Amino acid sequence: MGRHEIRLRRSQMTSRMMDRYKNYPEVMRRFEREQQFKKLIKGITLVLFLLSLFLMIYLVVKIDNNKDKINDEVKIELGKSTEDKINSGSKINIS
Amino acid sequence: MSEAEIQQEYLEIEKARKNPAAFAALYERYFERIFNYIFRQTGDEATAADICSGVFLKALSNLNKFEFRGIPFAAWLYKIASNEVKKYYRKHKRAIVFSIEENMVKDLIFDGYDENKEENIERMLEFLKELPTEMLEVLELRFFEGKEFKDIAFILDMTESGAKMRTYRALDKLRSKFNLTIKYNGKT
Repeated sequence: MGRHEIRLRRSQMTSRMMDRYKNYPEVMRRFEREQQFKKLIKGITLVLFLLSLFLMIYLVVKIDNNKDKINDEVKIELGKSTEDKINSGSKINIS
Repeated sequence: MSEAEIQQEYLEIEKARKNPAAFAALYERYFERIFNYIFRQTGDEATAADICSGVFLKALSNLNKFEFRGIPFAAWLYKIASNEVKKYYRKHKRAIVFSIEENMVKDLIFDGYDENKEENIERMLEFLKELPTEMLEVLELRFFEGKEFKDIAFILDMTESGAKMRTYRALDKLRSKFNLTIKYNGKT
């Protein structure tokens, strides 16, 4: 820790002097405000969490659907080319 | 503090956890001590009032974290106060002020020569200026706040033996430098 300064006080703080600074209602008000703010932050965090969860589920479902679509298209393509080969009379190798 | 008083206080803390309004009794009991402690480390009434209000707010917000493990609730408040004062000085980048009551310094020194008392007080203040701040913090808690070493260790986040060592070192320096008899724990 750094340097310090020493001051000598002739008088002592009396209870009456300190009473001027006693303010419990103010502490309670600040506490309630702080609690409200904490609740708000918790609510926002929860909403953001749920939104990101839904977004993730949506993306996973979408990617899955796309994969299915591509598979279907490949199958159709494969089916078409096999038909063409049968029609043209060439042999098909199934391995 | 007797065992019954500690139990009583613990019940009050439990009550305040369920109903924050019940914290008022603890605030009333400890306000002056905490205010004085902060005032001694800032030397400014308005600053002490601000920090003190913050200390009680923090205590109320973190009441659920307080665990009774042989350390009184007061020591927990002192710890918060000590941290808040440090935070204040870090933020404002000022030299730490120790504002000490003259009669407390007089109480601490027992020189046997009353005519030299004023001179000795001056010398004592000069000496305190030269001491490392950490040492002064321990001395303040020990002699001006009357805390036990166990509590000082908790408040300043150090070991009990560390707190004792710092105090004895400071006292030894004082004794050797000034040839004074220092009252220790009410005894010389």
